[in-house]
Amino acid sequence: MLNTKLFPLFFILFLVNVNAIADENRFFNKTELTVTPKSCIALHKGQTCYLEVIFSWQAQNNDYCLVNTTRNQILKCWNNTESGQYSFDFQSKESNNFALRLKESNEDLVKSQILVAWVYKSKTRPKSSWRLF
Amino acid sequence: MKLSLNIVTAISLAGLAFSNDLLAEDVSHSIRSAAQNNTSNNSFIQVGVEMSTGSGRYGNFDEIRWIINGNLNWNGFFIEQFSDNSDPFTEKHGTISNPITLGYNFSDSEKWSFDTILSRRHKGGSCKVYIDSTNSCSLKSEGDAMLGGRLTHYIDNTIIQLMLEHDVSGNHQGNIVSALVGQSWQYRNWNFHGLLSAQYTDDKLNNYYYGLSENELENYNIIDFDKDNMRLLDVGSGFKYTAEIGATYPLLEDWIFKATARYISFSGAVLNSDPIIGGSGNDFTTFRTSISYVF
Repeated sequence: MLNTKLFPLFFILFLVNVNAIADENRFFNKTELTVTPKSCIALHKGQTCYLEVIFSWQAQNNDYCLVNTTRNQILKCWNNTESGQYSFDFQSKESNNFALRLKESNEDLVKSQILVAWVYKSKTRPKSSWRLF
Repeated sequence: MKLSLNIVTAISLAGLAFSNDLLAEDVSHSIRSAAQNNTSNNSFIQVGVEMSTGSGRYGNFDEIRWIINGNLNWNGFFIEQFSDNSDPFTEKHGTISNPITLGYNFSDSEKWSFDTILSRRHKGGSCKVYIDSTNSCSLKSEGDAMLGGRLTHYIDNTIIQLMLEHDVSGNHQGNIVSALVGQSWQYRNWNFHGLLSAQYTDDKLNNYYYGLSENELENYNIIDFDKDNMRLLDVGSGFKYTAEIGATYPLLEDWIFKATARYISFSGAVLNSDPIIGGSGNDFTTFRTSISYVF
């Protein structure tokens, strides 16, 4: 027979445990930056590659900027926020690196990359499209 | 608490390992791609499946088949084949529309390219003399070996190509002259192209493959031949005109999708020279879609 006098004790233990799990999540709440999709495929090397991408990030509450570090270009900034999303029409002939930075800072907190790849790796002309005879 | 920590740690490590695998694969592929670029080697092989449908002189056709396109080159020497150019209508007349071509590139600048090429354009084996109106055959044509030059001029996304070929097998000693103008466009990751071409085949070639010579008439003693079932004695020269539009899309780094529509028209007596093959009209239309893996 369960002793009902122990219920308050169980309740306190439950609260402590919930609190501990919350602390644990905060502890592991690392700064993240993801981009989807990650790869842009063009047919021939040297062509501009086009891709609609979405950046998602999360970090501790602060002011952040999403930066294209390859072109040294700020894409978007957020104030007093702990997460964000940004849709972007990627257009490039080469792979680009991106980073989340604190506003007014040049330090990359977390990085991501959009890879540009090609089906035909040679820059020479696509013979396959031209052959009729 | 310790258990949940362990679970979180394990999941994190597994995720880290997985993402590292992906990253390693990306990096290795990038290095491989860069290495391939540095060699400036444009060799490739692609294998795919093509669905085609068409209509023309011999009725309609639907076909699903394997295609192999490729260009392998070494120090200027190359071997190439583009089997998605094959054409069941003209192949019915013994023409190889996707020949394996051997060649040597003498010059390949930004604007100009010149190749010498050798290929078999006609496979031979088509019947030249029928015993009667059945399919019995007493004389077959032989294949050829066309040796020639291919000059290509590039102006931005426009290409102009001229080709002159002569039979060196001795079977017909005929000539083929081809001219092509092409244009390509890119819209986002779609690549579109349009082509116009004209191909001239002289009377030596046409008479050998699609007609009969006086010598053949005498040698095979077919004086009593049924004239209604006889090939033309003098087919003469002829033209083949082609117009094509197409689109290619990179599905993945090694996979492409391609769709083309092609119109072919013949002038001259070539198509009408053989009563056994039959049919009427000089025009053919084909639509093709394919998915290929590029090695």
